[in-house]
Amino acid sequence: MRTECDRRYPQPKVADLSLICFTLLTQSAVGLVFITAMGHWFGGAMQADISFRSMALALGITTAGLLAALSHLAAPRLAPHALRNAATSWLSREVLLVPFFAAALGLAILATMLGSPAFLIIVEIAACLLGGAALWAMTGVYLLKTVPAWNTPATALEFTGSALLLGGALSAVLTSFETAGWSPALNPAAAGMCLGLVIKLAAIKPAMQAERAARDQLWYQQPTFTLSAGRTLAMRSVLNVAGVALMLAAANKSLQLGLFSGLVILVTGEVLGRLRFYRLYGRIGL
Amino acid sequence: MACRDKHDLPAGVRWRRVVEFVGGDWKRLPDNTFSQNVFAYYLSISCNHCQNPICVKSCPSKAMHQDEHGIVAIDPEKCVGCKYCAWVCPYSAPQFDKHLGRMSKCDFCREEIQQNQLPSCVAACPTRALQFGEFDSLAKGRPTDLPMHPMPPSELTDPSIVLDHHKDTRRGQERTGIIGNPEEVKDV
Repeated sequence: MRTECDRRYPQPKVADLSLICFTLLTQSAVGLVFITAMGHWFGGAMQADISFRSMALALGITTAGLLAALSHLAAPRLAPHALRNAATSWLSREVLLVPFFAAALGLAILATMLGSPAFLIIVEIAACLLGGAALWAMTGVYLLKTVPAWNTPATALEFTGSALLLGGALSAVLTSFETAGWSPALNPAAAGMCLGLVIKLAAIKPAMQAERAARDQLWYQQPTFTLSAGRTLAMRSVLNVAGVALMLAAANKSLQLGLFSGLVILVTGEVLGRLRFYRLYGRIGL
Repeated sequence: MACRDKHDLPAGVRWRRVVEFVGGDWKRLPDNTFSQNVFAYYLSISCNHCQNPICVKSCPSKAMHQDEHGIVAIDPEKCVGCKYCAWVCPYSAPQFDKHLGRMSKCDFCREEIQQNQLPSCVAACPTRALQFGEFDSLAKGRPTDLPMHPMPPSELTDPSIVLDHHKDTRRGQERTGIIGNPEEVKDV
């Protein structure tokens, strides 16, 4: 039973721009590294040339994400203490794994500069594993038994889908600088985007079910948003589909324009979706 | 008030919160009389120093820790102010203190306990509704795991609290009441 009294006092917002930036940037970097590695291992010599730019971009956006995460803390000078509880805290594990992932990217850049294919493959494998582990830890941070709207498989699907969607989009834009028009070199990026889109769309139903179930467990109304959670999800999905479609349809002469436009649409959709995710925060109990 | 005064808490930080749970309605009967099932009861809740504290498990820096007496406290030298403990606690116990720049919460008045005195909230309660002691002796003869609205399920964190149920205590799946004073108990 809800009354106007409940509606006036929503639960506090837990998100700020720093967390949205950290999660999206880190997930994009993980997706970019994974897709680049797949392209390198199965795409042949040309893909190796793209590795350097991809790893450098991934390192740059991971570093930007970590700086954004630091700005979220009230006492960033004590941030090293956040590594202490990796035994039980998913947040501590995330703080541990993301810098290790960044370090692997640094080694990958070194490997491309040294021109050592064997070393590059080893470091790419390490970067993929560490990136996957960081993504897994990031998901664990939000699978809280006291926050029912987040404690659902949809959270894992959302994060994985974002990684592949944005990582694929970034990979496509980077690769387009090396190709004259659409070429097989863009196939890993296209595959990553399509897989990411499928995962995002598959997450819609469990996300809506979890949100409905969560409402019955909360004593406080969830924070209001300019649009309802359902409409925001719909808008995000439309932007995802439009962005991927635009990128796949980009013709040779307007390839980079199409890819950039698609990237902007995808990023807009993902920011909207992440805002919606954080606005769904609602805790069982008092 | 006693807790706020004792610990000099700033506005908006509430280590102890009194939750008003109300509900019911009036119904007109066929003979134009009225019947009612209106109810209200209060819960004075602070940190429950749970036996399975989710905040301690979740804190990345081990600032949130549980001592040998079971008291959950915050180490100010390690708290990074990430607010993750506030995200997870179902009792809204950890609260961010803007003036200190870190999380803060009830520490069971550890200094008073060490001097064999009562916590300030217990000492101040005029009706002796709050009692303090060893959990096992307080729990003797009282059910400790009966669900009670709006408390969260006890199996989430095993809170070290024993509640004497009000005659109108509501429980179960059907939600027949609301928190009547959310402005006094919601997070800052």
